[in-house]
Amino acid sequence: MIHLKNNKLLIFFFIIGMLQIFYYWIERSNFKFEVLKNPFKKNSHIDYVLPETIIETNKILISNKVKKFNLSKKLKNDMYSYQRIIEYNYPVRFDEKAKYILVFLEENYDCKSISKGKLIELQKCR
Amino acid sequence: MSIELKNFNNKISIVLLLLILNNYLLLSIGLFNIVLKINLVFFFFFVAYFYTKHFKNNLILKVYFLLILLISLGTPAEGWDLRSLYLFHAKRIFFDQSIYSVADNYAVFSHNDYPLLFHSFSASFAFLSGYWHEIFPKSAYSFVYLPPLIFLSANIPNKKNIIFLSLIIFFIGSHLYDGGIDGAVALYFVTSAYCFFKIFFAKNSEEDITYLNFITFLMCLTLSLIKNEGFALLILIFLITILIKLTDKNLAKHFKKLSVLSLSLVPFIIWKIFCYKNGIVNTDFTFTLLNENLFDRLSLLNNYKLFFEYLIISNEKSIIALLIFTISFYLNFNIRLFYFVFLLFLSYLTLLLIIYFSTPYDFTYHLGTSAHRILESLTLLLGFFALYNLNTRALKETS
Repeated sequence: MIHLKNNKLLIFFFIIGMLQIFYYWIERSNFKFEVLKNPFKKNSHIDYVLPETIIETNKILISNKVKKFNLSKKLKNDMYSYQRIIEYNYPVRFDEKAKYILVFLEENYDCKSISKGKLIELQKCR
Repeated sequence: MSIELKNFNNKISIVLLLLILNNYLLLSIGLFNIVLKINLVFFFFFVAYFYTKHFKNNLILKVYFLLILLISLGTPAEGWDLRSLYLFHAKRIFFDQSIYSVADNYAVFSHNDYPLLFHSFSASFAFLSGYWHEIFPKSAYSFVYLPPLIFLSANIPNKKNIIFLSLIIFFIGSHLYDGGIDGAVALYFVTSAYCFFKIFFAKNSEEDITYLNFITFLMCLTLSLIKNEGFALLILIFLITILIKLTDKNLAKHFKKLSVLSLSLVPFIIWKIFCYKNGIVNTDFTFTLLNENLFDRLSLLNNYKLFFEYLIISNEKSIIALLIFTISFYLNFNIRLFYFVFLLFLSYLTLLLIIYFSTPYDFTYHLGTSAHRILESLTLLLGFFALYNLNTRALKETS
């Protein structure tokens, strides 16, 4: 701070540093005071990050105590949904041989319906 | 900065690095109990100690870092790399209570071959909380910047401290708070390169040497265990140092020190043997891909154009880094520093060329999605050493 008082160049760089941080804060981050108020929240404020489809898969798998699940072709082929469902639902694991399968509601899967959400359905295949 | 304060900062930096590495060691031997939590509490204690012991010392760094930490704690965990790779590994370590569970190669997209040093550190934040969540463990990826930042800012004269910190924010940017570890690779790489230059090419006081040797070893060890790129960069630092020493015909004099420092590569090699034995390979780069893609792409002139366009021409940070590097060495041409940095720059650029030219993905897609991240090591290298070059005392000390 002593140096800041004596040198205009240093004040200039200090301000540049602060401006950069504020730029990132306001323009380049998804900063939310709600998140800062409770960074230890168990659901990690996930609704700011993931779409409802992914969050719903977790609700369905947990409420039905499923340990392993498979995904419909449509979900598997959508790389974003595929990766998000796998990482978000861990330790519930994706397994191509699992009996339980997650499908979009609009998909026509003929296994036994176990649970239905707004967008996703859990079915049990033999 | 007085010698007392400089030593204080060096000690803090060493302690924080030791605690991060110790965290990894504890997890690798299966200690997930109270010892791990105590280790992390010690880490926070020493961060608080750094902030309070000499309050005015390094004050700008303290202010900047506090703001960055606030942004990190106020930002949800997003970003492909963070969710699919880093936090996912931390989550696996937390739930599986093991760093070796990646042996099952579950979710191949998560790059199971990556070393787990920082992800273990992140997982320990969740262990301390007692449950899995994402925000607090994500902040671990901001805390890891502290040891090299404290070390470098203590070793750069006071007046350049603020310029140095501005450069860090400019070149690393959002990775300081969003959990992207490419920024950490860049910072640890530059710190390791700085340490190597100080040890092998500059005159140091007895006091400096005491800390320098140990901290260099810790920086190298950490760099190699962040990511595969970190290991590659460390190898380049070793090779360039050996090359310059060979041309100076005094390699034998430094052989012992280099041998001791090379021991820092061992944990990474052990990790890779573990991966190899479990059939876990890197999906982005294999020696088979060299044969399949590299030679075909090398013969097309347009590929070089694209490569330099993405990495240098159309990236404003590269242009600025090259510009300040050129101006700095125009003003003060320290030949040894110039060769050391420029050879590092060229060798890493060549390595990147080989990797991008042999990619299994579409060439333009791979460049477009990763070049800006990979570049941080190059731009920070040029930016930092441009500033260091203007340190006239260091110039006089250079042998």
